[in-house]
Amino acid sequence: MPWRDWAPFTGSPYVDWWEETGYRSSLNRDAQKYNFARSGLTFGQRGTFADFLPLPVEGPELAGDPYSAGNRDAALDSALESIAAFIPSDVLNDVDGNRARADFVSQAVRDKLPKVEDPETVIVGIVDVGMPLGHRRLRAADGSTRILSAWQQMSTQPMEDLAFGEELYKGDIDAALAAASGGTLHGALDEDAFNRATRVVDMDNTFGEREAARRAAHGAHVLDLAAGYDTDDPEDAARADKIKVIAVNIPSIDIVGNAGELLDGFVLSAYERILAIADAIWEKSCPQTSGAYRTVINMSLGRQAGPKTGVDLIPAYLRQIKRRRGAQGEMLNFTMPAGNDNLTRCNAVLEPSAQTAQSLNWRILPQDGSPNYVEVWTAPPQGADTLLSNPNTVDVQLVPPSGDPSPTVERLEGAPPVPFNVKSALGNSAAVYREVLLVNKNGDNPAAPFAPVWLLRHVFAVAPTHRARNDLETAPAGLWQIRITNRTDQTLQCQCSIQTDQGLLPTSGESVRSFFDDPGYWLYDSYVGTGDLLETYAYPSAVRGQRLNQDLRPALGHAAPSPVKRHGTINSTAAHNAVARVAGYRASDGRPAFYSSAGKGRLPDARLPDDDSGTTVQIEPLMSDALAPTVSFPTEDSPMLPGILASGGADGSVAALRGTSFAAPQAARLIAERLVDGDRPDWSERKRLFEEAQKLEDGLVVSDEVIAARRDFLRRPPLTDTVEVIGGGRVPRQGARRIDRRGA
Amino acid sequence: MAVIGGPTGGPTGGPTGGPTGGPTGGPTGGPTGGPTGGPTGGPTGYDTAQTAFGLGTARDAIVGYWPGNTEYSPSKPTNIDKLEYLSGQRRHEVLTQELLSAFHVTADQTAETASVFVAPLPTTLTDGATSQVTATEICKLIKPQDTHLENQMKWVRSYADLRADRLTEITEQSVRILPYFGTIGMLNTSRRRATWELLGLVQTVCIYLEMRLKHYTWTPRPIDFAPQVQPIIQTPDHSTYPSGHAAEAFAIAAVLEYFLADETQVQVTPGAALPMPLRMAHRIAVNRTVAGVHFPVDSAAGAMLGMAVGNAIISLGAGAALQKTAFDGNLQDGDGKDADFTQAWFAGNYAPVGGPTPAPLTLLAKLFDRANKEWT
Repeated sequence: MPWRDWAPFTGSPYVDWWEETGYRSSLNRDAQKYNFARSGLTFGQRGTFADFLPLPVEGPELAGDPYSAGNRDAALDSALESIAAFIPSDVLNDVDGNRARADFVSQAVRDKLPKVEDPETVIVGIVDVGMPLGHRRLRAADGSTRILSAWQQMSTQPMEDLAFGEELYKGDIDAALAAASGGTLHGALDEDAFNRATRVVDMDNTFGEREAARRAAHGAHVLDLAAGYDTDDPEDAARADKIKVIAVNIPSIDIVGNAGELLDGFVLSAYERILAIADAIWEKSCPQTSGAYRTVINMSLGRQAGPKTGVDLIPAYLRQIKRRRGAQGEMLNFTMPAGNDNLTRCNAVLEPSAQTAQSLNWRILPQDGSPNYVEVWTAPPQGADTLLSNPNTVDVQLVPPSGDPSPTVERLEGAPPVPFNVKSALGNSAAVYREVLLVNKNGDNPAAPFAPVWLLRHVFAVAPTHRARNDLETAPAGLWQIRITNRTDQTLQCQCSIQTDQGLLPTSGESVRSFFDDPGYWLYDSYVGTGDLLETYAYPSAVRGQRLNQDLRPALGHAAPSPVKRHGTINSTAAHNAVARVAGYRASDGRPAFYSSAGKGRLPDARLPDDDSGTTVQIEPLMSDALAPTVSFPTEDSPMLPGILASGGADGSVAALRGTSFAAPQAARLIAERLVDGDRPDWSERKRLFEEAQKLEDGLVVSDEVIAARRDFLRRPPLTDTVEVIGGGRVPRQGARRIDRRGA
Repeated sequence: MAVIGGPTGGPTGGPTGGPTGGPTGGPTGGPTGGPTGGPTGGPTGYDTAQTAFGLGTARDAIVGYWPGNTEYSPSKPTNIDKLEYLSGQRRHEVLTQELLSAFHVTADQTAETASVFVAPLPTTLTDGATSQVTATEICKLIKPQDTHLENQMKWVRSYADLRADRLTEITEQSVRILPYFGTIGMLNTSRRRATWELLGLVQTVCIYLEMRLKHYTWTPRPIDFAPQVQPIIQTPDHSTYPSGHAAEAFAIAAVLEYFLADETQVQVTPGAALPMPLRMAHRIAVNRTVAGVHFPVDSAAGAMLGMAVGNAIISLGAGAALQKTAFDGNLQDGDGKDADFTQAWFAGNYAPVGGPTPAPLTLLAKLFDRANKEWT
């Protein structure tokens, strides 16, 4: 079967792919109102805004420019409206005939909201999955909940005056607690009944939420780390009294999609709702005072592939909301995990020099029941005029394991200007999407001048290699190849990321992650023959007490380092400066957790040692500073056992979970506690965390990315060894003592 | 058993003992095998030809001429009520027979119901005499129709999502459940030996009763309805209804709660959390649905049966009133949906009806006496 010629497409590549290939319908759930009915909201949002309209960017206003602040606000509002507009009518709650936006708080809802009369109260917003609402550590000393509201986006019982799902308020939660505890807030809790009553666990629906019914629940862990307190402890109780929670449980992967296709819409709605509810409570509780509660919001979720340049819907929204709030003199804080893909071989940087081509092997495994995606982002030196009249300057092709490669963009020539968005497909088994986007290169830095730049985005989509229904096309498993030809006269830098790929159902093995299979990337140490897993930096220390950057070290028998990198695996949703990007380290020896995203791996204008001989190599900086974590928190606290301890799915239980998902809420907790203490409320989350890291790193010069060897704080004196630090440094563990298994 | 019973009797009794192995493996393996394995395991075992040959050659060497005269007056157990001279397994068998003689299972094939009665016979019977025995129905079960089970399949599907999380419990509980109750109240074969034996006895009696009930109310398993169920353990050969695991677990829980709470009837209040042994029993029962071998309705029926049997054993051993339960496998909950078996459902639907107090069983009452002393 031949590749189809390039042709324009509209909408998101992901949406187009789902619709074109029948993947969405192959899930066989369209008949179920519960599932994909609501998905329309994010199809609409991504399709009409984020992907193929130019994104709103920060920067000085330009006269007559479509990216002026007013136009950016209008564009963002338009996106929010589109979310409401795409809610299907059967799950929609009409408000006076209009579809409710997530930030709409009706009078009926305001009447139900609790009062929080202390204006110094800090709101911790948490966006997660599987957060149970009855844990004692989220309750006050009198047994009542400290959760002000909880939007259960996945609830099948939509309520009046809410865009979708169901929202519970403190009064509802307390009533449910009493009902499931024999009428008292202190009784033994029938969690099964309580979790079902509060829509956290849904056994009625085939694909209902089950996360909190499991021993270890992601949301339970995050919730405890961010805002859990033991109120039997007077000191904890006093602090807990000043920290209230607004929770949003977003739907599980089943609805959000294997690749998180629909994540952004749910998350954006969640942010909108948390802020709107907090403001409504303020208005109800402090009517005489203008202002807002100090707020920190953690979201331990994200997608792996994306622009990673600070240009996307979520960062645009966060920057905008911060700017609006900033005018009120109130600081908003956002935390997100740096990501866990450090050693998954899902990240590569191709850098074809002038007039050359470079290829990258992409291994897709058999028996894989979900699509695989790669995103390639590059900033060609030429501007839009060149790209649209002569697209041939950057040519990207996809080569199946057998058969012809996808067509070159030369085929587009002859009919300039070339459409912004074009695609070519190989039946229903593979497709290449090519988009041209105009963004502000300095979008993450409000102080920097507006710097419009044209980005090229390619999305490669490959069908599942296995499908239960044999009437749907599958793609061949094996070695696919991405080929990039640079016909410019400068070196081109291409950031390649494999998209998130998770099973739709808990513990499902239907989704198998693909990876970049480069012979020059070594998983295990063959240099000295130990066979150890090769982490980001050499371990034990190499010559001169330095930990060598493995990404810059060619494998034996190879002339150059592999294009497949450990560095640069930052969670795409967090890859911008509107949030603190929180990585994980091991408390036992201070080194980065092996899975934790470890930063850019490059400093501007740096010459770094490339081997033990002491020679250096000149390296170009990567596109975005936001590829580096901000700081790191401990996500491992045992030399032998994985993870850190915090609440399990059931109240009182403790589970060990690992991942940067559990670093970010520690950062949120720290920020909330500092705000309660009145400590520099004017600091941004990143500034605060840098300062905190500096306390531990003892004079470390703070920067977004530290890759040089640093003194090991655990081993002094004498200073016999060094330890690498990711981000601006390490921050000590946060939360109750029990999260540290050493009991320190 | 004697030779290997010492070190391994406890842990291996369950899986290898068949229907009675689980409850008896513990009591016999521990007390007889461990500390006394040498003296009792050897002389009474005669398990190997080598041992037998050695004992024979030793006799040849020392016995001398013996015409068959006697030298001892044999010692005898001093009281018919005392069973301590027997090994744990033998005690278990004696008590099982005594208890089963008081239970009767009947069935009405046309109505598709089956019932358990308690009708203890006098200890002393005369051949040919007619004995007047009052039978008391303690549990009545109505089997579910296939259409009802088809509706229940959605629960089997939903609970399947929890399989990976409960794998250890499910596989472990396929062969033994008693240790799970040992996490709630201190249970072992030294300090609580009588209690341990009693709870093992409860499980054994339950197994015999439930198997006959299952036979009378035979009902297909989830796997009989859809190939997608794919249970993670082999589906047993017997009826899905009522759940044996639920019956055994709830019967054990009822008796354990008798000792823990010092009350002859388990207190269950709608809206309040269940007593801890019942929460454990519920967990064990639901695990069978998670595994894919039971419907929630099976567990509901098993729970009602187990509570009735557990209460009856308390009645027969401690002189309390019988408590009758009943369950219709076709009942639906209030809003028309097929009921799931939740703790809240159990708390809201467990409403036993008090009955007469039967005459205690002699040997069982002794065991209760000993067990009671272990909790004072």
